[in-house]
Amino acid sequence: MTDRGWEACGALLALVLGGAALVLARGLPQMEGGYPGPALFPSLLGGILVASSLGLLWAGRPWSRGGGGSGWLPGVLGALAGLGAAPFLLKAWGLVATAGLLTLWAGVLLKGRGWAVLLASGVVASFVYAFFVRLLGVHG
Amino acid sequence: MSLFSPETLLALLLGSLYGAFFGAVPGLTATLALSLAIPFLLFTGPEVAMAALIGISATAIFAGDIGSILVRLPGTPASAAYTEEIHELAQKRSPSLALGLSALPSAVGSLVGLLFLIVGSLGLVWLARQFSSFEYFWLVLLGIVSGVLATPNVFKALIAFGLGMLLATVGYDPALGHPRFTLGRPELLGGINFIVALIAFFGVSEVLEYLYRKERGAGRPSIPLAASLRAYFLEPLLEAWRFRGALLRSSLLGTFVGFLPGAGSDIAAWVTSNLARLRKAPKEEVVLSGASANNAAVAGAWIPAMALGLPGDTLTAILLGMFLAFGITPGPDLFKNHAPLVFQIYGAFFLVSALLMPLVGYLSTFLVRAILQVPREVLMAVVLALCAVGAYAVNNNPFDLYLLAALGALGFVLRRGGFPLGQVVLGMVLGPLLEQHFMTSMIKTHWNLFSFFERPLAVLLALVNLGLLVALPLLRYRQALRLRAMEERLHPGD
Repeated sequence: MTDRGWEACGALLALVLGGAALVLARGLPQMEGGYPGPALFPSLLGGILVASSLGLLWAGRPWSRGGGGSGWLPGVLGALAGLGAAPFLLKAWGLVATAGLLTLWAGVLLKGRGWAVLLASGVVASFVYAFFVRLLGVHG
Repeated sequence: MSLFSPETLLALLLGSLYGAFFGAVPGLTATLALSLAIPFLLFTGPEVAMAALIGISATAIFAGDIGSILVRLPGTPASAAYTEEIHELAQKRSPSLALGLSALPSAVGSLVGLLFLIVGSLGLVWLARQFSSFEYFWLVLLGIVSGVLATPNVFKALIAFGLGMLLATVGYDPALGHPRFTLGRPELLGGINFIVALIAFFGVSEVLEYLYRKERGAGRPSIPLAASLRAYFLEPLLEAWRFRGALLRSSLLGTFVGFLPGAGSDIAAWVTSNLARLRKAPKEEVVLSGASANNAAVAGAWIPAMALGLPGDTLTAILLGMFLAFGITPGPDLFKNHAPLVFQIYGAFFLVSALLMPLVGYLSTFLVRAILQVPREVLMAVVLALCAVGAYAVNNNPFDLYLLAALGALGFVLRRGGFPLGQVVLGMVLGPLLEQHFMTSMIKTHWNLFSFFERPLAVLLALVNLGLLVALPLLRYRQALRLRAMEERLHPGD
């Protein structure tokens, strides 16, 4: 995807979030006397987000312009999936193993050398055990 | 705990070394260093945490030059302003001299900034004591307006600030205490944790960006760094004396730029080094000007952060997040209720500037050379795992890991699209302040909007906002016209 394409993605994301804020803020209560309450600020922000994302989308046409080159999106999605799976790993195997496995997974995605990735995941697991679990008392 | 307690001194030293490492390795930034360190520092007291934070932020900016010297890759955006000159100096004269020419002016700039930090913050605190919610509202708005207008693309800046402020509205609202946008999740009642957001925006998105670009093999030293004490200490001292006027000028300008909301070390370095280039100054002076300004700006940004609770840049936004995490409200209350901590911050800044920066700069070159041998892929895998562990450790809450992934993905898209991530973080800090001061003022005056223009100081701040809104777009328009005229002169008939 081109840089402009990513810019459009960002603008669309802001448009959706701004629109959602506008809709959801309508369900928030008003203050006594009919004055705007908790809905005022999110509605303003929603309006700003919608207006500025539309402005950016308009100013940036056509989206195929601009460089940027290709990237490796499956790797990005894989890393995010790893983070999304972390709470399950945490519940099943605890913090130390989760840290080691995440390092291993990220190392594989990043195509690091096998022995270096294994060593790094061992070092991270030991560090998390010594520092976070033993010293700082983090549960898990 | 005093500044000279073993824990604080150790935090200062380790923080400086850690900051120097992150600053020096291209791709690892000062903000990433801070966001990864915060989960550890939350478990220490405020004195130890502040000492470490000062060590990290001061040396990370300075150490950005190490990457420039070794491999012509600036470690931080601030160092990019004079990378060509410092790398050429390293090749033509000596790497040690180039490093010294970065370390010594950085220390001087930082000391000048510290002087203004002491005087300026005490002065601002006096002024801030006259402030009510009306003045604070205008002041916070000033921070937002200048932050938006300082960004090249106003739409992108508005989106970044808007998203940051919107993220900060999740949880109980400051006016009625009504929950907003929690999607029925009790974990979101307290809002999105600032530290988790920081780790996601600067840590996770950095790894995702690296994965996406699949850059390999960057960061191997291209020139050897022979550490010569004479070249590192003595020769830069003579150069600094030779260009003492430029050194002082850049330090003062850097402090001022750092003080302005929305500006930061990188803008300070670009402004001062460009000014030196315009005068056709020698390379040594360009380096010296940029290096002194970017470190002076670090101290300059602490002035409004400490005295008014307003962050000038991303680093001070993180600092304010730390203050709040420790239950300390930055601003005049900080000086009233935590005076020893304030003096400790001044002392820590002095120690870092006068002693640790030159020393750590010298020592860190050995560390950096060793670390640069570690493959970047492995380094990035470790960063991702530490991001997850750090985010979880803040509250021992697995839900924060989902937030980390979601905000990391948001940060990645924004980063790819060229949206300023720092402004998202500033929005997260400034948004709740703006809403709180606005709602307090409105409730006090039964929604009389004119009350914002009744106090002299409030009127003055409103006028400054208005002036900025008018002047900055005009300046940018004139600049665009000048650029277009220049292009037409260079390419007639295009």
